[in-house]
Amino acid sequence: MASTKHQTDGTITLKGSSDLVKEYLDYGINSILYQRGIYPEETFVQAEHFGITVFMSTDEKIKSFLKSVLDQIQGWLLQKKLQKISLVISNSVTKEVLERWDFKVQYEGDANGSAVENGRIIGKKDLTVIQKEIRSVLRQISGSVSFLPLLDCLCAFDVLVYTIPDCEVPQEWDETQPAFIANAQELSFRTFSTSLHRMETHVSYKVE
Amino acid sequence: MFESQDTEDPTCVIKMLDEFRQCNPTVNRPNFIDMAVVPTILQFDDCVVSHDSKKRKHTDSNVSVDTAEDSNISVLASPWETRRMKAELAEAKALNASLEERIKKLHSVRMELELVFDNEKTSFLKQRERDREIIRMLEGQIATLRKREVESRDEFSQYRQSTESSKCKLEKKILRLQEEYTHLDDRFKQELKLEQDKGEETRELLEKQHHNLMRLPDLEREVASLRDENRNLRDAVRNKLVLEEEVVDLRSRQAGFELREQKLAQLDASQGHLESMLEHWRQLARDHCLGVPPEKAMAGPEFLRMRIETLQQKELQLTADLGDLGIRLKTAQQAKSKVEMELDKATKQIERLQVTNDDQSKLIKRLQKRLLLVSRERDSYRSQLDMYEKELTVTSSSALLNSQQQQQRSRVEALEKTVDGYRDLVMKLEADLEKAVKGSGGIQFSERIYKLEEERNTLQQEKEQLMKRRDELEVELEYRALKGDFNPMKSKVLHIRMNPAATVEAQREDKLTHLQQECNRLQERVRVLEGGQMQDVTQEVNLRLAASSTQEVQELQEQVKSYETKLQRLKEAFKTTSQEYREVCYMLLGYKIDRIKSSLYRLSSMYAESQDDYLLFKLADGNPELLETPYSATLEQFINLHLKHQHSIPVFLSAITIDLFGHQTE
Repeated sequence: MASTKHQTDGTITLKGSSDLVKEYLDYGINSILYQRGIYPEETFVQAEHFGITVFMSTDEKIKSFLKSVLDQIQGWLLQKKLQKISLVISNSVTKEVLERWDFKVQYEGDANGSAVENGRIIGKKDLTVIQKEIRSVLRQISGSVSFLPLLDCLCAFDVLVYTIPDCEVPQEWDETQPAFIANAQELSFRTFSTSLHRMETHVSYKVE
Repeated sequence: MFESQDTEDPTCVIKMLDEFRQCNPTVNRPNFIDMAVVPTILQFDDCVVSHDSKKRKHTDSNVSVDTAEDSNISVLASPWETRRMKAELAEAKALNASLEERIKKLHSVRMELELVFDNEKTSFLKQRERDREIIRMLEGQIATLRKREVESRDEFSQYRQSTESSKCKLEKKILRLQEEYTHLDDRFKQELKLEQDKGEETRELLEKQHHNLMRLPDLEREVASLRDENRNLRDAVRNKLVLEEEVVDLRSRQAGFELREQKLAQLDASQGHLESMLEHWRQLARDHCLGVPPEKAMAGPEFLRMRIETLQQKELQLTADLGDLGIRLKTAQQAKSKVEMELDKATKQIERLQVTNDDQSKLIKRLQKRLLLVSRERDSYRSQLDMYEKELTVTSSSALLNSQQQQQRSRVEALEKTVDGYRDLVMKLEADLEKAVKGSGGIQFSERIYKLEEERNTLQQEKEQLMKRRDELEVELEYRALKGDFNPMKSKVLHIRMNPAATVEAQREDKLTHLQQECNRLQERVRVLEGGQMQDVTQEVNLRLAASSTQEVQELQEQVKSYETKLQRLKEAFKTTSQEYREVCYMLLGYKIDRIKSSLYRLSSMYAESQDDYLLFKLADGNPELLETPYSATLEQFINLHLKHQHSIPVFLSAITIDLFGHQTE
């Protein structure tokens, strides 16, 4: 894994950066599902990633769903068609959107100290620094459970992807409406950058 | 008698005993006889046989003795044996003697015994007599007893019967009595219960009464105490009322006093205050009324008044002066403001002029630069031209014109044209530059400059406004972007079809339909059961469900409706088309064909003279046949010609039409 990410210390390829983003999204979404109690705690196991323990789901359906979604997201990320990913948590009975976790992507490949080596775009940032940043964001997400309002109804989640308008829709995907929350309280978490991609994380939740 | 007999024949005694025995068989024979015999057996223990032999000797006869003696004599007279025989004889004699003694004893005993026996016999006889008498008596008694017994038995049986009957009666009576007893017992018990209850009630009442009674002394005491208390309370109330009145009175007085006290305090304070004030005033007066000796200080107010008057006059003067000065100040301020405005205008103008000056200088610099450039270009072009001219002169000197040279010449001409153009441009720019250098004071330019400045100001203001609006909109956009709004122009939202929210929703839908179906089924079941049917409930439910309006049935009904409407429409369409077709046929062919029955058609001509002139055709095996009608009877001619000979119905009909048309036009 390390060898494909950087040949020399501190260089990140586009593929490596997208891998990091995908992993961050995977762990982040799983953490959110665990922390907000969308699925019962027994269906999660602890795993060590990026130096902290994250809770990963063991449900096959969730895993396969996340895998297909994240693979597609990674493809769009490499094509620079991705703008934002939203994890929407809604009441499964009334279909009302209760929380929305936004992961905004900004591409900073061409301007931010990158160079074109061998025809590929390379970023210059130390892997440990990136990992530290990701770690801090994940910790923040885990800590957010203390002030987010309790979700005491049966909830279901969905992952919405915001892309540029002229992006082809794959077979299993549909166009939908974005999820709005009226009277929402917004919160921003830390951002991290892999020198090729910059991820901002926000949460919007309904104020009671 | 006996003794004598004994000595001679000992056996006589025994004979007499035997006789006695025979006479009295019942008398205690064994005892005596055995006693007589036994001792003989017992005492002599040498040999019983010998004793028996001796008895036999004694009883039977002397023969035995004789034999014995004989035997003794026959034996050889040996000394020993004689001696033995003598001894034996002596022994025998002794024995005999002893025996005789014994016999005597025995005789005596016997005689005694006989006496005793006689006595006893007599006694026994008496006894027997007595016993017999007793027996007779007893028998008599027994007889009497038996009679009595019989009598008593009869009586007994009678009594028994009577007792049995009485027993029956008594038993019946007992039963009856038992019943009565039970009945009475119940009643008794009930009454007892009632009584008990009553008794309990009365007991309770009694207890209560008792309690009450027990409490009575207490109550009396209480009453007494309460009476006392009451008296005391009444007194207290009376006192209280009195005291209340007093209290009210005192309170009101106290309130009045307090007010007065407050007033007093206030008055004291005010008095002190006023005294101090007065002192102050006096001091003030003294201070102000200068030049007045202290002795006349008591008449100070008048002096103070005078002083005040003077001061007031002075004040009046001063206010007048103040008014004047104020007016002057206002005019001065107005003049100042005017001057300031003029100053502002002048400064603004100066600024503007400075700005224009700067611009002009900038412009001048630019133009100078451009001039420099242009002059340099010109120089370069000039040098090029010189070069070209040189080249041209060089080439023209050779005096050989080929295409190349022609091309070069054309090129040169073009370049000269461009140079001319540049020259013109340069001249223009120089002229502009001179104008710019000169024209900072020209009136035209100042006006233009003024206009331009105004335009620029307005544009700047617009720009500022637009910038503000843009900032606001950006802020709003950020705000909305954070809230989740998105610009449909810039992005599009995608999600996977099979996402958890959708699966949950699908599950809920399924569950809902399932529950709805179950609910329907259960409702039907309840209705069936309420209808009273207990068996085959499930079957009935299923039947009813199938029969009632389910989704399929609804669909089918809708289909049916749609088909019916289609049918209706088709019918109408058919009607109209058929009507049209018939009209067309009538108009084109001249005959109105009406279908009367399945294969019966009626034709009426367009030109028929009356409504009743119609022809009937029957369809037989696909060929129409003409039937008789009143009108067809008149067309015999045509029938014969066209149908019978020509076998053509269309010709027949058209002939009729022609004929009728001919009739009509005539």
